[in-house]
Amino acid sequence: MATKLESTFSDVKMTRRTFAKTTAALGAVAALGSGYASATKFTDKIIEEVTASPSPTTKRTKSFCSFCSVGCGYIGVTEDGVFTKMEPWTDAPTNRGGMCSKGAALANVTNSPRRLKYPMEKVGGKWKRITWDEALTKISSKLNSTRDTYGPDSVFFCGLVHGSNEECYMFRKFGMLFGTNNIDHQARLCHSTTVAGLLNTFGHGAMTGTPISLQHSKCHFFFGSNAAEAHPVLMQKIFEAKDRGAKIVVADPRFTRTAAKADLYVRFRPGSDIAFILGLINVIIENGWQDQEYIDNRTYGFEYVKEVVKDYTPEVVEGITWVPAAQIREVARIISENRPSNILWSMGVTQHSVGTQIVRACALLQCILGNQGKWGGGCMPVRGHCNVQGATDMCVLSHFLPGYYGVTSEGSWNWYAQCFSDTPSTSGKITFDELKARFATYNGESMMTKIGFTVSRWYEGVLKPEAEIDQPHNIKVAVLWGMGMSSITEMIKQKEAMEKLDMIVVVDPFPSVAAALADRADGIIVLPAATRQEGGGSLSTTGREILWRDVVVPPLYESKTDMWIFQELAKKLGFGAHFDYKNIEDVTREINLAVRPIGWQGQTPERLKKQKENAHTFDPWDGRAKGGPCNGEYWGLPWPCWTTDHPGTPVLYCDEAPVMEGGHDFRANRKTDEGEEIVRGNLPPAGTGGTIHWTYNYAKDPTGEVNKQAVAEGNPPTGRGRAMLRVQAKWTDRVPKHREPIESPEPDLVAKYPTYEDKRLYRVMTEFKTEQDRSIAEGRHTKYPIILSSGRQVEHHGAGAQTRNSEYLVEIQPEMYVEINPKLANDIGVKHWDMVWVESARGRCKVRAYVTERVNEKTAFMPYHWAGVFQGEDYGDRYPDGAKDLARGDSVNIIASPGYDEQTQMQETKVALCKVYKA
Amino acid sequence: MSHIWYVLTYVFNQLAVGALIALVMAEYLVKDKKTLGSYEIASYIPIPAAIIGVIAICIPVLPQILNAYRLIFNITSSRMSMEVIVTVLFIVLALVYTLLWVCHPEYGSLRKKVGKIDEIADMIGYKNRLQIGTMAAVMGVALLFISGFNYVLPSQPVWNHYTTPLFFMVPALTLGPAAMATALSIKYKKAAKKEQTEYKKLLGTYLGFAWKLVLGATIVLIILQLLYLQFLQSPSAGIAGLMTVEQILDGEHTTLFLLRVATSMVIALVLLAGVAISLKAEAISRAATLSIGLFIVLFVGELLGRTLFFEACVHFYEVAPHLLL
Amino acid sequence: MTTYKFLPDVERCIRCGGCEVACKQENNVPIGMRRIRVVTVNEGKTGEMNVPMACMHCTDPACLKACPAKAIYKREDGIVLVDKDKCVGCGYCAYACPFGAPQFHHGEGLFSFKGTMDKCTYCVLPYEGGAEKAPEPKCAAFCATKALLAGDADEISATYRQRAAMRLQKGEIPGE
Repeated sequence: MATKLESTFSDVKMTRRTFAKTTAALGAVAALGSGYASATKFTDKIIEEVTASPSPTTKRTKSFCSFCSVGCGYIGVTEDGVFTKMEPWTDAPTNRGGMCSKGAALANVTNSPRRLKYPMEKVGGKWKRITWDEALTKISSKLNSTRDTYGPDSVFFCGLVHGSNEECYMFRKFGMLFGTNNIDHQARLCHSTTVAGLLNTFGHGAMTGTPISLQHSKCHFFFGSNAAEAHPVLMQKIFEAKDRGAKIVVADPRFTRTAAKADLYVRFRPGSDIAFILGLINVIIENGWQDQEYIDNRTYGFEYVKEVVKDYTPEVVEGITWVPAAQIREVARIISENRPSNILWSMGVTQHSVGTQIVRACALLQCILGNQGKWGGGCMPVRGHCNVQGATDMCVLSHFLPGYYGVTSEGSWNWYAQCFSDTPSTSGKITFDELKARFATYNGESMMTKIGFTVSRWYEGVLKPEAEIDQPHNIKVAVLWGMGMSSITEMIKQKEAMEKLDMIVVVDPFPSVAAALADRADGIIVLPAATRQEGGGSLSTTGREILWRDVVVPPLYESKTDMWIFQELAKKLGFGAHFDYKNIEDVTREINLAVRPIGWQGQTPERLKKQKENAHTFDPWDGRAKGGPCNGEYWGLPWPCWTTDHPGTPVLYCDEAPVMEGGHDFRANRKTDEGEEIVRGNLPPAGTGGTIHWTYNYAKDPTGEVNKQAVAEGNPPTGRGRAMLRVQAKWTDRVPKHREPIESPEPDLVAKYPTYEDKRLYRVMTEFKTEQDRSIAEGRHTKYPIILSSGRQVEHHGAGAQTRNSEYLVEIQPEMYVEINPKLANDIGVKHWDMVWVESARGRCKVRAYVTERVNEKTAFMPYHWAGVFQGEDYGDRYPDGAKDLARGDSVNIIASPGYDEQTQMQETKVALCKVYKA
Repeated sequence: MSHIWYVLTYVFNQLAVGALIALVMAEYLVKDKKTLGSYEIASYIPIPAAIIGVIAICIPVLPQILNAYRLIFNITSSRMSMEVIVTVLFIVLALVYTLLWVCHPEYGSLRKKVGKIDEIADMIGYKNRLQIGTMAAVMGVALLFISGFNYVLPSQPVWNHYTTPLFFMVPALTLGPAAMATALSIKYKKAAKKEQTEYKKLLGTYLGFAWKLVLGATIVLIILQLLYLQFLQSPSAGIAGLMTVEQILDGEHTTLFLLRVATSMVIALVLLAGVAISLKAEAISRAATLSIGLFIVLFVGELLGRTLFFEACVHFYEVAPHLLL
Repeated sequence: MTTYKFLPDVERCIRCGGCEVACKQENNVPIGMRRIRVVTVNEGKTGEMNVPMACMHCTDPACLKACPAKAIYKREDGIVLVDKDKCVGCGYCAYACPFGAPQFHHGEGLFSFKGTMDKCTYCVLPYEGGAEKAPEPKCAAFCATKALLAGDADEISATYRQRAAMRLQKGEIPGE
C-alpha cells in the first residue's frame, strides 16, 4: 500500500491526469485515518488505474452545468475515467461555451476530496462508517416503523432540486407511494410565488421566454434580479440585446453588479415592490401608454386594475418606496417607449410575504404594455438551481402532483394510479383505492387530498404540539435529499427541530449543515449521493428547455446516483415494482405519458439526445435548428411540446405563430367566480388558421389524441384563453395592492397598508398580522434600524455545500460578510473586513464587514450561501469525518424575518430588521 | 514585511557607499596626512555593510541561487543587470581600498595578522589608495543611482519620478558621515585617558565637518520629501499617486510615515543641533554620544523610509482600469 | 502573420470569475497564483467597471526588457513566455509589468521564497511546464458574456469593431 502511494507521489512529472487522481487518492488516504480496511481497496483501485494505463484514454462528454438554471453546456473531459477538466462547448446555443466561475469549477467540485465517501451513521457522538445495505436497511425499517406507529405523515421528505427531471419525478412518486404529501423541495424557497402568481394569471407558472429569446428585447427591466451574479451567462444574452440598442433598467435596493451595467438605476426600499410596480402602471395608464388592443383582446379584468392603481400616483409611491416620483415616471417612460420590454426577476421579487402578489403585479405590467407573448417581452423569472424548473414541473411539492395536478382533487390521484399501472416502464400495478389506502385517515378524511408541510416551515411539524398541526402526529423522521438546510429561515427553530426528530437521513454528495447543524449524538444517517456530473437524465432550464445530460464520469467513491437509491429504498419498503426502471430513459418515457398539463409529450429521450448531438445546427439568434436532423425544432424543445413532431414553445402565449411553429396562448379552461369563461373572442387569431374551439380536455388523455386534434385545429390543447388580471375571489387581493412586510421600518405605513390576517396554511398556522403587530409593539423598527436583505454571490451557489468545497471558488470568495454603507461603518467604528455582529430579534451572526456603497445607510446585505458557523460558533468538528466544508461562515437565515407568503409559504428573506455592531 | 530583504539591502548599501564616500572625503580633506591613521577604524564599515546587503538580497532568491549568475545576462536593457555588475565592481574596489587601509604599514590594524592579505595590499601599492577610493566612491554613487533608477518605471507611476534615485543617494550622505563619526566616537570613548586628549581634537574637527554635511543632506532630504508629496498629487502620478498620498497622509501607512519623519528628520535635526552646541561648548564627549545616537536614529529612520517606499506604492495595474474609462 | 492578443470588452465584463477558474483548471495553477484576475474599479458607485487582467502579451514587453536573466522571451506569434529554468525569481518583472501579470508565491514570513515567476501563457504552457500546446486560451473561451476576446489581433479588432459599430448606431434588431 505505502509503496504504491509513494510511487504515485514520486512521479516527478506529475501530469494533470495523475494530479486529479492523486487528489482523489488523497481523499481516500484521509479516510484511512479512521481505520477502515476497505478504504484501502478504493485507494488501490485508483492507484492501479493511474499506474496501469501508460497512455490515457480520453473521453469527451457533452453535458450541462449543475448550478444555476441557464442551461450552460460544457464538454467534460475524462482521462482514464477521471474527470480531469472541462472544455468549452462553443456550439451550445445558450451559452456559446461561456461559463461562470461556478460552472468552470464543476470538475473541481466533482473531484473534491471533501465529498462524503461512504454511508455513515452518527452513533454515540461519533461518525461511524456503515455499508450501503446496513444504511438502507436501517432507514427503511425506521421509515416503516414510523409509518406503522405514527402514520406516513410523520415522515418529511425534502430536497432534490438538483436531481434530473426523472429523479424528481421518482421522488414525488416515492412520496405518493409512501403515502404522504409531506414532500417538498427548494422551489418553495425560491420561486413558489412565481409559480403561483403566473399560473393563476396566465396558465403556466414559468418564465415566459427562453434565455435565447431575451436577445430580441428592446428593454430589460431587472426588478429584484442580480443576474450578473446569480445568472452570469444570461448577461451574455442581455448584452447581445444591449449592443443592438436595448435599454437596461435596474430597480433594486442594492447597487448590484447588474445595476452597474444599467442605463438607469433606481434604488427603492426593500419590501415596497408592489407599490413601485403599481406606480409604474399608474404612470402608464395616466399617459395612455398601455396597449389597449392587446388588453381588450387578450386579458380579463383591466378595469379592476385601473381602479386599484389610481391610488398609486408617483407621489404616493415615493412615500412608500423612497424613490423620487420623477424616477418612477422615467422608468415607466423607458419601458413603454422601448417595446417589447421584459421584466426579469429572481428572489428579490419572490421572497416576500407578498411574493405572489409582487409576481402578479409584474405580470400585470407586462400585459398592460402588451409585451406578454412577444419575442423579447414577457415575464422572465430567472430560476436558481439547474433543475428547479424541472423539479417544480415534476412537482416535488406538497400541493401538486407531477405536472401541476392539484393534490386536493381525487381525479389527480386517479390519473396517477392509472399512469403507474399503465406505464410500460415499470411492472408495478396499483389501483386508486390501493393508493388511497396507503395514506392515513385523519378526522375521518383521507390525508391523500390534504396539502402537506412545506420546506420553509417543516420544523413546525416537529415543534408544534400535535393539536396545532393538521395531521395525526408530529414529524418524526426527516429525509433531507440534497437539501442545504441553511437556505431555510428560522434556523434556530430548525436546529431545535432537528434535535427533536427521531432520525435524520441526509442524502448528499456534500452533507454540510444538514449533518452538522443538529446538536445530537446519534440518529443521523448520511448517504453519499452522486453529483450531477455522475448521473444522467434530463434537466429543465429556466426557459423550460429540456436538455439531456450524459454521465461524464461514474460516481466517485461509494456514492450512488439518486435513481439507484430510490430503487433500492423502494425495494426495501415494498413498492420496488413501481421503481424497476431499466434505465433512466424509461423514467423519461413515463413522464412523457403522465405529465400532460404542461406539454411534456414531445420531449422523448431520443429527441433530446439528437438535439444535443446536433447543437451546432441551432441558430443562436432564435434557438431554432435550420436544417439538419432537428430541422425546425427549438433548442431544448421548451414545454409545452405537445407531440413528438412539435418543435417546442420558446415563447409562451405568443399567438403570432401557428402552434406547430411554437405558437401558444393563455390557458383557457378556467372560469372566473362570476362564471365568465376566460376565452378569447369568437374570432381565431389572424394567421393561425384555427377553427373556433377554445378549450380541450387533454390533461388526462393517455393516448395523446386530444393533443394531436388540437394542434391540427391550430390551437394549443390548453385552449385560447385570456390573462387574468383579476384572480378568483379565494385570494385576499384579487388585484395586487401594497402591503408592508412583516418587519417594517415604517409603523405609519404599516397602519395604512397592513399585512394579511393570520391564516392556516399548509397544515400550520401562519401569523401575518400578529407578527407584524408584535414587531411594532416590540419597537423593532427603532431597536433594529437597518433593513437586512440577502442574496447571491457569483462564486457560490445555494446553501454553498458544493461551492464552499471547491478550492478555486473559495480562493476567490473565502469568507462570509455583511455589506454595509461607509457611513454606517464609521458610525459604529468598523473598518472594512473587521468582524461585526449582525443581530435581529431572532438571533445574531458574526461576520466580516464589507464596507461599500452598494447598499445605502439604511440597508445591509448578506450572501446566503454560508453555513458551518452558528451564531459565531464554528461547527467544523461536527461534520462527518473527511466531509468538513472547506470554507465556513455564519448563516444569514439565522436572523432572517419570520414572514411567509400568503399563497405558498415562501419565506421573507429580503426584509428583516437588524442592527450591526463591532464584534 | 515582504520587502524586508530589499529594505536591508538598500539601507546597508547606502551605509557602505556613504561610509566609503565619507572616508574618501576625509582622505582628501585631511591636511595633516600623519593623522590619517586615526581614521582607519572607519574603513571597517563599508565592506561588512556591503556584504550584509549582498546576503540580504540573496535570501529571496535562495532556491535559484545557483542560477544567479544569469542576472548579468541582459545588461543592454535591464537596469537590474547593470545594478548587479556595478555592485560587484563597487565591492571589489571597496575591498581593495579597505585592504589598503587595514594593511597599511604604519597604522593598518590587520597588518601581519591575517594570512597573506598584506602581500596583496603591498602588491597594489599604497600610493594609489586615494585614486582607488575615488573610483570606488564613483561606483558607489553609480550603484545607488542605478538602484534608484531600477524603480523609475512607467508601470509604477508612484515611483516614476527623479526624486526616487535621489532618495537612494541623499540618505547615504547622512548615514555615511554619521557612521564614520560613530566609529570615531566609539574609538574615542574606548581609548585610554591619555590617548583621549590627543584624539579629542581630531574628533572635534571631524564632527565639526560631519554635522554640517549631515545637516545639509537632511535638509535636502526634507525638500525631496516635500517635492515628492507634491509630485504624488500631480497629474503625472495620476490616481495611483492620489491613492498613495492618501495612504501616507491619512491611511494605513500614516504611522510609518510619521515615524520616518520623526526619526530621519525631526529627531535627527534635534540631535544635530545638540552636536553643534556641544562642539561649540567643546563638550566633545557629549558630542560623541550624540553622534552615536544620531547614527542610530538615522539608520532606523532609513529602514522605516525604505519600508514605506515599498509598502506605500499603489501599482499601475491596480488602477489601470480607470484609464479605460 | 498571426499576433495573439487579449482585449477585454469592459462594457460586458461582470466579474463572474469564469476566466479565473477556467485558467486554474486548464493550467493547473496552484492556489495563490492568479494568472488572470478580474479587477473592479469604483465598486458600488456609478462607473463601476470590471476588467479581466491577464498578460497582455505586449508588442514591446516591459518585463522582457527588465528581466536581468533573459528568462522572458517572445514567440513569433506574439506570445510572451517565461523560461522557468532560467528565471532567478528576482521579481523585477512584477515591478516592470503595468498589468500585474507576473505571479509569485505569496507566502507569509521572512523566508517565504518567491520561487520562479509564473504568468499567463495564452494556454500554451500549464503551470508545471512541458511541451507547448496550441494557443487556445480557456479564459476567453469560457467567458460567460464573451467580454474577454482572444485570438489573432485582426480577428479581435474585427469583432470589437462590429460591437462598437452596433453600439454607436443603436440600430434595428436584425431579423425584424
